[in-house]
Amino acid sequence: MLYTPLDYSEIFPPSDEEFANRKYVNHEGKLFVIDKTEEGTYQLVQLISSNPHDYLNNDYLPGTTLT
Amino acid sequence: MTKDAGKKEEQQSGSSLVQKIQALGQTNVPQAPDSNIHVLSIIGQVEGHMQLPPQNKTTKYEHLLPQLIAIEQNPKIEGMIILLNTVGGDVEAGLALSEMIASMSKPTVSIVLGGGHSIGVPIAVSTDYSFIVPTATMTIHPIRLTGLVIGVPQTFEYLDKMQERVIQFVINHSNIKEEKFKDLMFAKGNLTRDIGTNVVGREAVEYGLIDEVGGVKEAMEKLNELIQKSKPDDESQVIQ
Repeated sequence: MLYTPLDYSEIFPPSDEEFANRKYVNHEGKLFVIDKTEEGTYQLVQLISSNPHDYLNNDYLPGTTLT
Repeated sequence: MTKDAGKKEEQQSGSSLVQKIQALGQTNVPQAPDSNIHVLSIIGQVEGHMQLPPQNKTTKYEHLLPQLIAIEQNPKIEGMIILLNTVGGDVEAGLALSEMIASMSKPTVSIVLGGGHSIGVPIAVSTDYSFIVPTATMTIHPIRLTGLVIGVPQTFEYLDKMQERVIQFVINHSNIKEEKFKDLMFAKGNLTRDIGTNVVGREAVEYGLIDEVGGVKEAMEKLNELIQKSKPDDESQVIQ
């Protein structure tokens, strides 16, 4: 237990590895946040789009494995 | 052969179903026609110059600013809704977003859901009309800085000016009076061992900070009304 008002990340600075697996890719004009999985495939984490209908597209569901 | 192929297809659809359940916890999402209203969600922390670790939920201004330009440019998009559930974050990134939203020509409406704290306040008031759900809260507090400070007097001056910019933006884009806003910002005894005020739903409307209490229905009605108003009167010209 750490008795400090400091933020967790200030005591344990995030390692570069944490950032290494996350990528932002532009596909069909939409921005996707993807994570590289241990098997080497990419998994969709988040879709960033202002069009509400993009979120209804089954292909863009978070968790989808990209090929 | 055909039986085999059918089986394979069934298996495939079965596995994609499992994948969907793993991904969203549901099997299908409804489809709808094209929308003339676009949505921007300001979620988590408003991220500034420092990138936060991936486990944090953040709104990155470098993602939103181009989207705002795209919305402004696209003639098919007639209005925009801003959904806010943020704890605040980087002041200058938040002000950049607020100024961008405020300077858009298309009708904009914001809804504060859950929380619109700190720098979420100027973002919420930057739209043409703002809504807050009855349970949402907004924390108004002075600007703070964490980390190493070199040159205390200069930094103090700088922060004081930055705070003034936030105050000016809020009073220019909402109905709250400068004195009232400063009173709320520097109030003692509302937040435990801190200065500032936490205003909930209706209170925010009473102070003039937010225009109306309401949710999705009210916001959509208002946005459609604003869109109708902003459209040039083609029909009346035809009659003449």
